[in-house]
Formats: sequence, C-alpha cells, structure tokens
Amino acid sequence: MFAKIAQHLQARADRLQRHPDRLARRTAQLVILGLMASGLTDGGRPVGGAHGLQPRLLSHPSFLAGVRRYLQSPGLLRPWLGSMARRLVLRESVSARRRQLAQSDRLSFVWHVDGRIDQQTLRNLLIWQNHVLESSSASNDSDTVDIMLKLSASANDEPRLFELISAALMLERIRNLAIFWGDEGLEAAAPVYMSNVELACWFETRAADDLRQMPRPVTERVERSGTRGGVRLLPDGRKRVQDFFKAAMPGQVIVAVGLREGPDGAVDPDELGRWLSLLDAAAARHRRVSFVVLNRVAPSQWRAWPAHLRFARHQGLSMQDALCLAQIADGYAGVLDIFGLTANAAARPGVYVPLTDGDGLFPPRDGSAQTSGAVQIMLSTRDPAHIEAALERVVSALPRATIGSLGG
Amino acid sequence: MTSLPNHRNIPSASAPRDAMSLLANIDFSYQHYALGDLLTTQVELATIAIEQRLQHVDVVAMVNPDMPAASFQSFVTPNNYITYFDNVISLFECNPMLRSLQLVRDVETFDFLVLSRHRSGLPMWPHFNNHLKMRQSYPLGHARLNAFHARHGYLPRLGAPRGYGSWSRRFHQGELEARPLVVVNPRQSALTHNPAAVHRDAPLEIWYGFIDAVATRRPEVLFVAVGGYSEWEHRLLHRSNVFIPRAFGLGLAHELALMRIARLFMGTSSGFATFATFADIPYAIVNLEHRFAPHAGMTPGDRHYPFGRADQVVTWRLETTEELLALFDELYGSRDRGTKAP
Repeated sequence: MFAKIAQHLQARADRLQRHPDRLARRTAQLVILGLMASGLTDGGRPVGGAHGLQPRLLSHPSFLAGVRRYLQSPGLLRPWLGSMARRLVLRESVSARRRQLAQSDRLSFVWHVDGRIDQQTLRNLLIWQNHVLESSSASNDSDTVDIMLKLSASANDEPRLFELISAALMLERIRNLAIFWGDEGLEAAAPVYMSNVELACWFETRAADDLRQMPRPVTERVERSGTRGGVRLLPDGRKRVQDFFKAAMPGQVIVAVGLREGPDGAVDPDELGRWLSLLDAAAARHRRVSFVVLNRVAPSQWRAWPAHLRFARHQGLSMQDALCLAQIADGYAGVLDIFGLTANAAARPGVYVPLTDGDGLFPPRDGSAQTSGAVQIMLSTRDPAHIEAALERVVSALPRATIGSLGG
Repeated sequence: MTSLPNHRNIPSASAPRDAMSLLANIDFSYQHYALGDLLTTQVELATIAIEQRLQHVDVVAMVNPDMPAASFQSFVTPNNYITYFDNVISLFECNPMLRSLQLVRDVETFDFLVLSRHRSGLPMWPHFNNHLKMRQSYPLGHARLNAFHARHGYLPRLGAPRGYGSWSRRFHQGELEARPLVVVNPRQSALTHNPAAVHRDAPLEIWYGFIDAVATRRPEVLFVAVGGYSEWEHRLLHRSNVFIPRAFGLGLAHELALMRIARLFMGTSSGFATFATFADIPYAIVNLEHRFAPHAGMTPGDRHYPFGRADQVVTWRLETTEELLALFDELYGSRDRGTKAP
C-alpha cells in the first residue's frame, strides 16, 4: 500500500517539476528526494514501477549542479539538504552500477602493449574499435566500453603515451580508460570495471590483447576497404581547425597529409623528403591546392617551407585538433595511420598508403573505391610513382576553390 | 541520515595489494583544471602515502561530461571538456609514486569506485566526507607539505611525466645539441582564451632584455619557453637562443620532461613555477603575490620556501631586467656546484 501511495506522490511530483513556479518545482523535488530517502522509491522511479518511464532526476545535470550549489552554500540548511541529496545520488548511482556489473557480459577490455607505443599502435586504436569491438560480444550493445591498458611496471621510455590517451578520448565507444603499470594495480581495479562474468574469466585466464598486434586479416581488410566513423569531431577542435584554415591558407583547397613517423613521434626524415617532392609537383599543377602535414617535424629537420605547405602541429594545433583536421580537410594524402584512418572514416577523398611495408598478400592495385562521390584510393604499395598518379587523380577531382574569382 | 548501499553488495578489491596504495580521486566537478593546483596535489598525495607507509598512489581523474568543471570554471563545457581534460592528464604522471592512472567519464563507475573504497576502509584522498562536500580550497596551501618537510627533512619530488624522461635526454642531446637549458615562463594569461588574474602577467620587454643580455654573456645557453601556444609573442621566435616546444608540436608532457633536466627555471608564479618548486631543480620564481604568503607559511620578503634550497629563490616584487640577470648569475650553474639548503 505504501508503495502505491509513493507511486502516486511521485507521479504528481514529477509533473510539478516542470511547473512554472519555482517554489512548486522545489517542493516537487523535495518530495521526490524525501520518498527516495525513505527508501520508497528508487532513483526517481517508484519501487516496483516500470524503470525508465520517469525522468531520472538524480542524474540530470541541472539537479547535480543544484546539489553542488547547495553543498557550497553558506549556512546550515542548504548544505544539509545538499548533503542529503548527494548521498541519494551516490546511492542510486552505485545501485545502477551494481546492476550493470551483475547483468552485463561485456563492459571492459584489457589491453597490453608489448614494446613501445608507436604509430601502428595508435592506428590500431581505431581499427580495434571499428572492427574488433564490432565483431565482439559487445557488438550488440552500442554503448561505450571501458579499457584497461597494462604497461610494464618498468616501462620508462614511453614518450607517446599521451598521444594514445588523446586519441582514445576521441573514440566514440571508449568511455573510461585506465592505465596500469604492472599487474597489481590492474587486479585491484578490476572489480570496478569488469562485470561479474568478466571478472571470473579474468582471474582465471589473465587474458589481454596486445594493442600492437591486430589480427592480420583485419588490418588487411582495413587497408583495402578503409573504415567508417568512430572518431568524435570535437566542436572546439573543429573551430580551431577552421580558424587555422582561414588564417594560414585562405581560399585554398586543403589536403591533409600524414606521414610515417620515427619512434619518438616526429616525422621520418626520409619519408618527408619523398613526399615533399610529390606535394611540390602537385601544388605546381594545381595552384589552389595547399597541403597541411599532421605530423610534427623535429627541430633538426625544420626549414623554410613553400607557401603551399603548412604544419598544423607547429601552428598551435594539438594531436586532437589534428584528428579533427583530418576529418574536415578537403582531402587526405598519406599513410593509413590514426590520421589517415580518421580521414578515411570521415569519407575524405584521398590517397591512402599502407602504413607498413606489406607482405604482398593482396596484389598491387591503383583502383579507387568511391564512396558518396568522393575518390578514395586505397593503395597497396608505397611506390612513389603509384602515389603520384593517385594523388593527381584525387587532387583533380577535388572541388575548385573560387575565392577571389568573382570578378572573373 | 540517508543510508548508503551495504558494502557486502560491492565486490571487494584485492585487499592485500590495495592496502599498500592510496586511491586519489580528482573529481573535476568541484576540483580545478589548474596546473599548479594539480601538481601541488600530486606532491601532497605522495606525502600522505609516505606517512601512511604506502607504496603507491592510484590516481582517478573523473570528469562528468554533463558537469565537467567546477562552477567557477564555467568556460569548461560539455562541448569542450575533452580538450581541457586532455591538457592536464600529463600532470598526474609526474606523481613519483604513481601506480595507475584511471580516466573516468562515467559517474556510476566513479561513485562505485569511491564508495567501495570507503566501505573497505582502505586509504583514500580526499576523505570521503570531504568528497561528499564537493569543496576545494583555493589557493592550495603548503601547510601539509611544510609540516612533512619539518618532520622528515625532505619532500617527495615531482618527476618527468612517466615514460618521458628518456625522451628528454635523447631530444636534448640530438635536437638541442646538448646546450645548457634554462626554462622560462613569463606568465601571459592575457594572451589566452580565458584571461585570469592578468595582474600577475609578466612584463615581456623586461624578459626580452634579459634573454638578449644572456645571449651576449652566455651564448651557449638555450632558453626553453614553456606554456600554451597562445601564451608567447611572435617576437620570441626571432631569437636564436630561444626554443619553444609548442612551436615544434610538442606538448605539456615534453615541456615538463625538459624542465626536469634544465639547469634553471625562471618565471612568474604559475603552474610551471609549481613544477619547478617541487621538481628538485634550481629556480627563481618572481613576483609572488603577497596574499599567497600565509598559504605558503611565509612572510612577504622571504627568499625561500620553508623547504627550498639556497638555489631555489622566490621574489615578491615586479621583476626588472637587472634583477633577472642577477638571479641568473646567482643560480645558473648551481647544479654543478651542488648547492645545499639555505
């Protein structure tokens, strides 16, 4: 009977939460909190009622902000009310997590990196999310997953860890990312991230995937056909990139460029030399085309560059900004690393070159895979002649810039 | 009082291993995205861990995408929080006792983690009741650190972000020709997107005069100008004795790693100055705010923090070129001389 009364009160209070009068709204919220504090309702839902039918008061941002405001208010009453509400939020939140851990099969994945994080490891992040995760037992669930990354306790030379973190924060399906140096911390934290099923399995097998090693058939498929989606276009990153385009290369058609990198993350000098001649030639043929290199260049390699070439990371754009740039430039040319794959996933026209020297498992081809009218050439070779021909095709197909041509 | 879930329903962590670790919860819904505060917190965490005879610190950095910042940092929004979060992550890896870094964006996971820790009675920072109050004092004082130093005669030191120490030595040798490094950070909040306390900004002409004078007197010295890309004037790049990491695509982690191997840090009171304060390098931090003195256990005019060495100097007035040169002459090379406590 109490439950029915509580349900009735809760329904009335829920309606009043949208009342134009502030006092009515506050009273309604107090009623809901009181019901919850008394244990008659559960997280904004009547006990025994249909879950999800009522708005979840406790997780609503405006409610949480209100709780914080009350907690930080002077005096006694407001902080006390805030404290009550905060404990309710915590209680509901923990209950929800407990249900999730008990009911879900797959919430988290354990990775390790056997060796240093390199360009291939960063690329594998997106391959893993878009192709390995998709085909896993978590594929039915479009929700996000948690990653537990184990590094060696003695790893003292890992200068690309923050690039991995930056990229992971932009992936759509990665929610929490926990990094552990050694086994102890991971084992201690496992009950927080792993479902009960996963936990039992983990303590039996200690299985972890090496992020440096993706299944060969998967990487081959990606190198042939590319990928789709999976990387957030950050609103503020998009703004910075557009500001950069307009300031650095006004009116130009802009092609992002991604090159092979050395172990510390700077572009490989030989690779830079090879590509510069290709880019110079393309720019000479297409005056309205400019190129933006997404990798950083070591100080010893820095020099005066031609006007059609810019280096985004040297002009204030971060790794995350560069990933945004790859998604919104007019085209892409370069290797299928995390930048190339991101551009490809955003359906950018471009020339996509294998990151690693392949073992010839699929025959060389220079054909195009056209998607939504955009030319995406997936090369299976790193041969400069093939790259140059493909680049010419892509650049020729890009829309023409028209700024400054209004007068004919 | 509202009851919380019974701990019997919460899976317990592997207690023997966890009992040796301090769980530190940095919840950005009430704590600050501020370099100095976060670095000071790392040292404080290490002192807590040491005094509790713990071996490790596990840092949990929590950002709720719907409420990503404390109310006074309202410029951090659900649309841009990833950028701000990304900018501070490397600070946690300067913690000398770090065992894990957990970046959490899910409230339920975080609450579960906090409550299970609280119920287990294992070491946690901040205290559970303080965490519930969602308050962080500002500025962060040095009371605990001074007390630790008084008891033990030392402070735990911040390191280069984990994994970046080797990189900094390679980069210094290979790309910077092993020139002696002097890191500078003349604060320029006015050049940022969210200017704050611009009265603490440094007079740049004074600094340019100083850098140019050193170029004549000690041409081998390479100044490394650290700070956000927007925080320096283009004229700084005109100087051949200045290297700006951000102009070469490097980030905060690289800057902190280079600071760790520098001969000297000189700068205004800022997050980088905080790193110098706790990173065991010679420094001159100029123009400290007088109102900060009681928080640091000092009196305006004191030349050293209570835990500072003779080659770790602070000043309390606006700098001049002559004063910067005098400080440089006094402190440069002190690493070689093995300067001890004042």
